[in-house]
Amino acid sequence: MKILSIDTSNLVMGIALIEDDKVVGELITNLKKNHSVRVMPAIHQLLEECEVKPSDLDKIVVAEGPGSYTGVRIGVTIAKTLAWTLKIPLVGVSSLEVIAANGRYFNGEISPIFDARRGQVYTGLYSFTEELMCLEQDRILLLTDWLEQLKTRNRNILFLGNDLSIHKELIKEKLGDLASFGSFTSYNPRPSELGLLGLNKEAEDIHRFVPNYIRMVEAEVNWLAANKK
Amino acid sequence: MMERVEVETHSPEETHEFAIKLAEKLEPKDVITLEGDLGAGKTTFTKGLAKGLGITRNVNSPTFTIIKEYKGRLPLYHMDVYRLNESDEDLGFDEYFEGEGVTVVEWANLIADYLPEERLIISITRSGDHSRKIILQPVGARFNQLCKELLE
Repeated sequence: MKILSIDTSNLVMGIALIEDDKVVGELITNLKKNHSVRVMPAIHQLLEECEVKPSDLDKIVVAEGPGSYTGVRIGVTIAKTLAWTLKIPLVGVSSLEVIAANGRYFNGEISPIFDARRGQVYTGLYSFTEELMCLEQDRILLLTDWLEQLKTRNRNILFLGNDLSIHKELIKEKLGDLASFGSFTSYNPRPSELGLLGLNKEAEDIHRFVPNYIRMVEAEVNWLAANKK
Repeated sequence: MMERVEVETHSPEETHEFAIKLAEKLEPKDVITLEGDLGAGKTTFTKGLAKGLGITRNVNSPTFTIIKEYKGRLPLYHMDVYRLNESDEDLGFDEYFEGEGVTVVEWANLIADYLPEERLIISITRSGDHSRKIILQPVGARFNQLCKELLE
């Protein structure tokens, strides 16, 4: 079983090749460069290095969002095109869940964070028991509101994600000792974890599969518009 | 604060030249909304902006693709959101408006909720067979300053 996984949800571009229970190849960059020109050559390069032909692949796993709209669209479009042309199953996994997987050995709950501008974040709440469990669904909300909610849980929480540099101070201020931050080396989503998360997930209907942007509900859009003026 | 600036051009070439001059003053995150009837010269104007931004590729309407991106001194994000009419769909506009380049939006009224507060509103109207009135309405300090410089 050979799985190709692709994540371009944010600035990080991640591509991995898993074969059965081995990560054969993994490519990660965290650069402010355009995914649209880099992803296909990167997939080509990784497969070539690993001496795997596209026709050898059994499954494509893609990070389906949330994240940068443009980024998510690129990854999902490439994944759909590959899965369709190779006639193999396509699986989508939450981009936040991929980051949460980096907290595998943390004793407590995990809140992956992507900045969503104007004080908002994309986040959810996860924890590991046997496997990664989603405790609170992915969402977009004001970080201050999220921290209020977390405070009432009174559990240790590990925050992960490259955008923490913007939000760390506020989190520390609101949660104090309840908040932990991994080292920056655990902030990139790892495409091999993405592949693993998608291993046993049910395949998508390729044509109907769309990114999960996690839009704001209309009331929130209106509120923001009103408060911008 | 400046209300608006009006410029009259007498040929498509002159409109093109004016857009080049404007483009040379643009910075990352600048957002321009562009209004004008069919044939008023929106495309001519955008081609001028692209030239002024050092873009060599041919610029044409993104009516069907909604967003086109061009590489130059600064990237140009050219949007025609006409097809989004009534869908109220957020395509991730903030990423462009707050990105590395300059954004030009046609039919911007359809995405009014998503537009940044500070922007340059440009409308082009016919004043004769070949002459056009280009009206610039700066919103915010940055574009007021820019319009002042343009008049110098």
